[in-house]
Formats: sequence, C-alpha cells, structure tokens
Amino acid sequence: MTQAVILRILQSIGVILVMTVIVFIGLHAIGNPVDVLIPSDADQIERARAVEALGLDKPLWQQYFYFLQGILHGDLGRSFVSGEPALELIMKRLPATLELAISAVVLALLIGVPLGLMAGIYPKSLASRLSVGLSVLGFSVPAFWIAIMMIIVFAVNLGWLPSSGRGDTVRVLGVEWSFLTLDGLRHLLLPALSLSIYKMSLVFRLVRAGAIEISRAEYIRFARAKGLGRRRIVMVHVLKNILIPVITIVGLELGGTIAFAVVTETIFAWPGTGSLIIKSISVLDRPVIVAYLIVIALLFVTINLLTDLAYLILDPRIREKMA
Amino acid sequence: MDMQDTTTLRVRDLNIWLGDRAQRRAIIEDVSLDIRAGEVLCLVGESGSGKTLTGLAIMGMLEGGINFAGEVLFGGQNLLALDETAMQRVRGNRLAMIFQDPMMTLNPVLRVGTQVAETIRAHRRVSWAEAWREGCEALRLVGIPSPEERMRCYPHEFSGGMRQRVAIAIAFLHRPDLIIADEPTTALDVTTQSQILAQVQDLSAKFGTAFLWVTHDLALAAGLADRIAVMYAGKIVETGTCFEVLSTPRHPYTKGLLNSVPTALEKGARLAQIPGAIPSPGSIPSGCRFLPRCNRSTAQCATDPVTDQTKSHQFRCWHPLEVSA
Repeated sequence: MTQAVILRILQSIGVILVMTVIVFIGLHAIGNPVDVLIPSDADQIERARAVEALGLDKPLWQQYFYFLQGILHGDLGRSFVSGEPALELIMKRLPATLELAISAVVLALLIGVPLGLMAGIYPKSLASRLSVGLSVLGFSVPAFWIAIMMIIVFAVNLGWLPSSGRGDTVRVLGVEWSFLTLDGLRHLLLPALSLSIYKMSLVFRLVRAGAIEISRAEYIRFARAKGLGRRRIVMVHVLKNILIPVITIVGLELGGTIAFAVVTETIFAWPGTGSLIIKSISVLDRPVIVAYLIVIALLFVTINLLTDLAYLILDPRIREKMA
Repeated sequence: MDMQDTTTLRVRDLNIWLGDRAQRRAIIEDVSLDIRAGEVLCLVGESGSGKTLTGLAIMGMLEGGINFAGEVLFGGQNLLALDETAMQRVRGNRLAMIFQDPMMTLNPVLRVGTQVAETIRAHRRVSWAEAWREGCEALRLVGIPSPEERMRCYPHEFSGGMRQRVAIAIAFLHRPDLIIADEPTTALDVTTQSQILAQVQDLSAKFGTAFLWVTHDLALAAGLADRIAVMYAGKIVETGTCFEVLSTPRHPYTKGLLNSVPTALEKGARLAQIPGAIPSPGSIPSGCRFLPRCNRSTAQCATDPVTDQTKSHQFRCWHPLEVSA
C-alpha cells in the first residue's frame, strides 16, 4: 500500500518535470512575452531593460534551470505582468474553481444516482424512459451551449438568477466562499448546473446500467428470499455494488472539471483559475501558466489517490489484494 | 382430515406461462404437490423441466412478465394471493430458500455477519448487537468454526462449502416450516456435498423442517427423500414414496432417468439414454408430452393421460410399466 503511494508520487513528479519542459519550449516557440507586455512605443533601451528584468535574456535552458532551482525553494516564479508570486495568484483563484467543480460533481451525484437507481429498478416507468432520453441530450449537447441557453432563459428572460460573478462571499479558514451565502448560492447555481449536466448524464447511465445488472444477480435473489424489504435491497445490496464504478468516474471527472472549467468560467465571468489561465496564455505569462499546470497536475494525482483509497473502503476483495 | 392438518405446503393446479392469451407458452402446467410437516420431497427432473420455477413461484419470486395461476397454501394462507409486503414477512421466516451456486448467493461487498444479522432484523425487532450475537450462534449451528471471527469476514474469504453453510444457517434462522432447496449441493464436490447433506438432515430432524428439494441427482434423492415427484416439461409425471418411485417406476420417463444413472455393476456397458431432448415451452406436444421420446406410445397417447389422485403412487401414463415382482 505505502509502496504503491510512493510509486504514484514518483510517477507524478516525472510527469510534472516532462510537462514543464514542454511548456517552456512551447511558450518559447509561440513568441516573446516582452512584445505583449511593453507599450508599443517603448524604445530599444526600455525593451532591453524589460527583457533583463524578466530574465528572458538568458538562453532557454538556463531559464529552465533557474526555474527548477526556484521550485526546490518552493518558489514558482513571479508573474511577468503583475510581479506577484505566481503560486499566490493561483491559490487566490483556486477556491472559486474548486467550489464550482465540487458543486457540479455533487449536483451530478445528487440527481444522477437516485434517478439512475429508479431507472434501473423500474425500467418501464415513464419517468425512467424520460430520464434515459434526457441523458442522451445531456451527453451530446455541449456544455457551453447549455450555459448560454441557461443565461438566456433564467438570467435574461425570467430574471431569476444572476449570470456573472460570485456574489457575496464569506471568509472561512482564510478563504472566500460563495456557497455559504444565499446570494453566492444564487450565483453558483447556473454555472454549477451547466457544468454538471454532462456528468449527471454519465452518472445516471452508469448507475442505471449497474442497477439493471446487479438486480439480476443471484445474491439479490437470495436477499429477497431472506425477506428483506425493497429499500434495504436497493439502498444497501445494490447501491454498494454500484458505487465502485461511480467513484472511479467521479474521481476522473472532478480532476477534469477543475482543469477544464475554463469555458464555463469564461461564460459566467466566474473569477476562478480558468479565467486566470486564459488571460495568462494571451499575454504569454509563463510563470503563471507553469505554476497553474503544476497545481492542476498535483490535484489530479491527489484525486486519483483518493479514488484508489475509496476502492479499498468499498471493495473488500481489492482490500485483500493490496494488503 | 388428519392428513390435512399435518400438511405444510399444498400446491394446487399451479400454472406458469409466458405471453398473453393469444400466444400463451406454458412453462408449468397443473402442478399439484403436498408436503407434510418434516417431510423431504425431492422434485426430480432434467434441466429445463421447470423445477426451479416451481420453487420460485412458491416463494412469490417470479420475475415480472411471467404469468401464474393456482393456489399455494402455506400456513393457512394462499401465498399466490398475498401482496409483496405480506409475502416479505413469510420469506426467510416461515418459508426459506437456498440456491444452487454458493459462490453467487452472498453479496460480495457485505460482511457475512451483516448478511446473517439483517435477515434476523427483517423479521424481528432486535438490536444489531443482538442480531449479530444470534447470527454467531446460527453459524455455529451449521458447523462453521470460530463464528465470531467468521462473522466479520467477507464472502470471498469462505470456500464454496462454507458459503453454502452460511446460506443454510440463514435459511434456518427462524426455524422455518419449509425450506425450498434448489440444487444446493450440485456445485460442491462430493465430500463437501455429503457433509452438508448430513448437516441439513440433522437440522431438519431437530427443528422438524420440511424440504422441497429440487435436484436432478437421483442418487441424492434416493438418500434424502421421503417422497419423490418427477417433473417432465412442466408437468409432474410421477409421484410416490421414495421406494415406490425408485424401485417400481411406472412412468417410462422415470424408468429412463433411472437407467441413465451409471452403476458400478455393469462396467463398460454403454449407458442407457433417453432419445431426443426435452421440449421447450411453446413446442410441447398436445397429449402426453413424453410421447415423442417414448417407445411404448400408442394412439391413445395423443390425449393427455390422467392420474389416479387417490393413490399414494401416481403416474401420468396410459401404458405404465408393470410392477415386476
């Protein structure tokens, strides 16, 4: 078990190193950030000074070497634009993104799991067939389109919900959160919902397929023969078996959502890391981009580890193999 | 009347069929059975003859889309007329069932103890701790060593024989009047099989439990049954005491089954077979359903044979085999 965790961490360090090299070379190939940063009427001397200040006068391999040295001291560099430490910039934005991504996943589970169970157990009911149809839509309609439609319907036409920003926030544990205030929740609802439609469909399909398959299992028949009520059979015997694939998907999706909530954040002007990274890419702010990617990679690794740990809790057969 | 009082289970004209009135495909036709208290009735027949479905129908566990009619009288009520909630109170309580494959009957992600204790709690208002303690005793009763530890284990940590013991312990939890056993020893090896059979016989003698034991193994039926019912293509073709059916079979199908059992005496001799295969639902011939495979058939066999319901030994055949002295 410990061995597996250590191996996983070593692997992710390797992945992060390779990724930073690619980002350094890639951004170098795209262009020179100085051209974007200094005013267009600046003269040669000002330009040279800026290049020197950002350390861009050194050869690329040396810049990369300085960067690695910085990492060892816990320093991911400073933004070319604002001069603030890159990591700090990201950490300031990260709670907003985490809040959005987690809300989306929780929403997907809260709606997807019960609907999926119902559709798997009463496959012929009207509600089940309707949900199956809707889930196909949820799969195939792109999230950005859903987001725009939601804004048109709920924000513009009906005027029920705001369409941009985070609204009021509360400071808890030194971080600003929206979901703890009513106004924040109102702001959160539309972006979280539009981000969760696809995941909801995925969870629904997965739970439905699982429920259909497991309802036919011999041990469910035996559970009925023991005289157990339907509620206990579904909520314990069926659900616990379905949770394993669901946890896998949720783990993968949570990482993906944190990394790729960019589009939704842009549409709803949600001040998360997504909009930060878009802005940073447009001005080739390399330290921020690299720091962002490192943070995301670490998050991915952590979530995957947690997913594996969840398996151990849920499936005794895996627990035995790992021990 | 005396007989009636000791009857635990009385099945009358059980019919099971698929499809609607226009395209009715019979699976079980006019099955009637009586099981007296403490008696073991072996329901014998080939795969596909409808033995398992008969058991599931008695349990009220036929899947949706399967139609049924008839009466299953048990504990003073017609089980087929009960709704699901009322039936839940009967299942696992007065009437239990054990299944064929012990590797599949326990939920892989729940502790064995949970699966035992929840059955107790489904029928009696007791605390988890109390149910757990009773569960330990139940496992001890079926010969599972150190049950306190084994209760905390998961099914994959048990062998097939041990899992079937758990299933049997669960079936016996509420000292049922009747257990339906659907080939519970078929998937086990011979030594485990005989251990488990001995265990079941002990327990049923101790608690006076009756059994409807579904099997295709005539040797097992010979050792276990008080009475035997032979099923063919959804109908019972012969019933009688164990001795009557096995030593003086009257129906040609029963005779054929008995001849198919290998014996040590005629080593090297070719095993007798019943030619042909069991008809599938929908292609069952009218009249005697064994007709296409029978070598004694005459024109009379085109009509369905009737049985003499008053006798102990009943057979559904126009040309029964003679009782050889």
